[in-house]
Amino acid sequence: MRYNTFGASGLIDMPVASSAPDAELAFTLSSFARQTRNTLTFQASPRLSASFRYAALRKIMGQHGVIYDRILDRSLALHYRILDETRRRPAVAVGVADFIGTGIYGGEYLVATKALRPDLAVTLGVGWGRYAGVGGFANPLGPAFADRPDRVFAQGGTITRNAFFRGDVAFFGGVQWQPTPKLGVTLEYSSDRYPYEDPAAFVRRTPFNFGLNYTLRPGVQVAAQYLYGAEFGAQLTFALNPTRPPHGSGYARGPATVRAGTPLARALAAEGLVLTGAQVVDGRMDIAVQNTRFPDSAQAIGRAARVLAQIAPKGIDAFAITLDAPGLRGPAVVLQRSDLATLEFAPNGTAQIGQQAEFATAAAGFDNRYPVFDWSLRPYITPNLFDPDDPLRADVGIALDAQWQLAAGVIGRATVQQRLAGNLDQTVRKSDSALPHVRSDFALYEREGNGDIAQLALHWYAQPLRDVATRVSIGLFETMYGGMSSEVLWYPGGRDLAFGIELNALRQRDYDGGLGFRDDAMTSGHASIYWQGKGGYSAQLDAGRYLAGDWGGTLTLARQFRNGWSLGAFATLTDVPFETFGEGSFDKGIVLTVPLSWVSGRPRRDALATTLRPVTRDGGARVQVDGRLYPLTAPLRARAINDSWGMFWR
Amino acid sequence: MRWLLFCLLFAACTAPIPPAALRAQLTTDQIARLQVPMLFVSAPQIKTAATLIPVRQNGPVRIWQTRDGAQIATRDGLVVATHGLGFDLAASDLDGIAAAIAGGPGEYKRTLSHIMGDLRTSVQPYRCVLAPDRSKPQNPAITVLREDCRGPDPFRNLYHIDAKGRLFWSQQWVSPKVGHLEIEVIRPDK
Repeated sequence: MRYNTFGASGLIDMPVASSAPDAELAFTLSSFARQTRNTLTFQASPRLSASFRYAALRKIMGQHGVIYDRILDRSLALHYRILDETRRRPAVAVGVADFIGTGIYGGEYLVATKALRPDLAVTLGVGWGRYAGVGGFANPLGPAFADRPDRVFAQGGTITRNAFFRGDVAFFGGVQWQPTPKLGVTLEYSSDRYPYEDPAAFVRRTPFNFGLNYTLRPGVQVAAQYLYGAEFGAQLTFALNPTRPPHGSGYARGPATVRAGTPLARALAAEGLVLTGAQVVDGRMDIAVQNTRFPDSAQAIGRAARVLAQIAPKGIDAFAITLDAPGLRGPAVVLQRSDLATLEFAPNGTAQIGQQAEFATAAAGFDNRYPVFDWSLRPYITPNLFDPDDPLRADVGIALDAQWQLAAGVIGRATVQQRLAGNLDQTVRKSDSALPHVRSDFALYEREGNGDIAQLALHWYAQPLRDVATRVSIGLFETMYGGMSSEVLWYPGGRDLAFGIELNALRQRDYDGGLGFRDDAMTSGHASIYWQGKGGYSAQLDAGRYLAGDWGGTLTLARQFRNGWSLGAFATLTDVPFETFGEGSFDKGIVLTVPLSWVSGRPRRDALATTLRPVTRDGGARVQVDGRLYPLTAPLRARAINDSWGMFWR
Repeated sequence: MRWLLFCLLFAACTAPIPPAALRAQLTTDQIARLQVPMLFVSAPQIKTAATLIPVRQNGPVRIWQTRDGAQIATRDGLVVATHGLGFDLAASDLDGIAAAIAGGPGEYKRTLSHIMGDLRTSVQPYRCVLAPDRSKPQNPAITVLREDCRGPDPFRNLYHIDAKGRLFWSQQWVSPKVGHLEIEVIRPDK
């Protein structure tokens, strides 16, 4: 299996019907005739893959004989396998090559692939748009689909649906041979005429392409190809799979051995657990802990349970362990002391302790121990991608995070950043936005701030009912906004749904990263529905008022893996017309979370979380608040404990 | 700082000492002076070796630990579980092998459990045969038993037992990525 030059599973330029392994995430860099394509492809489900492509194109022909020396083009592609391959039948897939974008790669296909032998596969496809450039014939879908509208050199971003599967169609195909496990040979007949590149960028002579690909090591593939009788192209693919952690279950120290007489709080601290409450009622010891170390909730509970089993006084037969966050508390996990002794090394001990464990409502009236102060120093990187002047800009520096739990539920959080190096201050583009500049002046913040207060806020969390959490925050929430923010979240137990409301009264901060505000005040707020389905698929719908005063909604779809990985995409539509919004037409992007424990194998709860926006404009913008209720309460809930139960004895 | 960067890039921070060299550092004198039982364990596939001492006992299971917190849990010298090796053994069903070593049936079933990347436990069944290994000429006072297990990832374990019936050296399989642990009892219980 190889990725093609467009970053989809394919031949060389053309697609195939088969899919990459489920959950695979691949980055493909390909170059040919100075057409460079960077594609990030995610196999979102066993059948569906999505690709985000960022291409740097040279010598592109526009309308009326204009030749653009350089075009930076973003596009989104989808590939869906309709039928699986069987002994008699080929796999069949349908795809759209340029779903939201300028349409330069606009084309759709229906493709079939069949393995004749384990090492030999043939592909035959029929394509529209770009895939119908050579040997085209009339569209069999009928007269309504006969004409394909011309590509418009517009601002992009709109879904050009009235072009899909329209116009002439043509056949394409190819053969892939895998002589050795590492080496692949591909011959293809490409129906792409390269209408915008030929002849300004290169001269196309034949429809036949020939390619070799070689796997250097698992996940790294190089490819070389001779294309269209014109030029050689080269390609590099890096692939990884979130479900295959490079360090397995990690290098965490084994469960701590506790000497008799050790105070409980100190014994738990050795496991990175902060004891926030303990009491004994009727032979059961109830404790609440804040987990500062383990990415998996059940592992934290398992570690706490083994500490208790070692040092709890005789006569205590059961333990109830609750995961705590400031002011918020999950359900208690009730465990029998005798089970902890007998099942720790039982062949099927994880499942057995799971059958014996019960969830209960956490006891009230814990002797909460405050204040708790915690700080850490970390490096940070702030990338700014896709600026046409320089598509890869970033600042790096060090950040100091501090948090201080003053009382039950009251926590102050501060982040101070010191920039060390970078080139974000070279961003010279001025915002031309017709809307209030709620986000598009980001370059001014980057230029004027060096040592920044990224965050300085006080939060009050409470849980008035078992399944209801509240938050009131005041202070500086992010580099651009401060003010007041309040939130209510209801997460009915045992359900896939949660509901939230957030209201914010905000002021825009000064550009220099200090304590001052600008004059602009705004009110924003949203009602949100969160859904977490089976297999890790999740959705979030937010509807309300955005920073520029626009009203609308944001839909986020994501796949969350139990080990903390999350990949998703969002789109926001508001009452701002596409023309007023400007480049991109509406706000959209990709959200990616990579747990650092997955990367390093060392247990830690933090993650690398990135939002990739093709362009930052003012429509559909929201304030960022660290410590929103849904992500804060999720690891405490029964769902997270059940999902990570496999880690109980780890 | 440059050294640290090198470490981060090439993961070469713990310069691997060859297990044999590490083992050679332990002199007979030192071993004689040990106050606690000790194992010397090397894992050739992941190029690591360490000494372990017992830190905890849970019923018949003894938990041994390295200085940096990695653990191996054993029952009568047979590995039940490991911690901190990366692709750890989460659990193992030892009834068949323990009975076979004690003279019971030489063919038995066995399961090994590993944690998958999605945090699920994969319990894999094996069919094993334990038989004396007479492939090499050896000291008649030592019994060498060879365990061959067929299943998802076939493996072979070796157990060296002395005249008193004590397991003093073994080679036991953990997982495809970790491979075998070579376990030498440096100082047995007194």
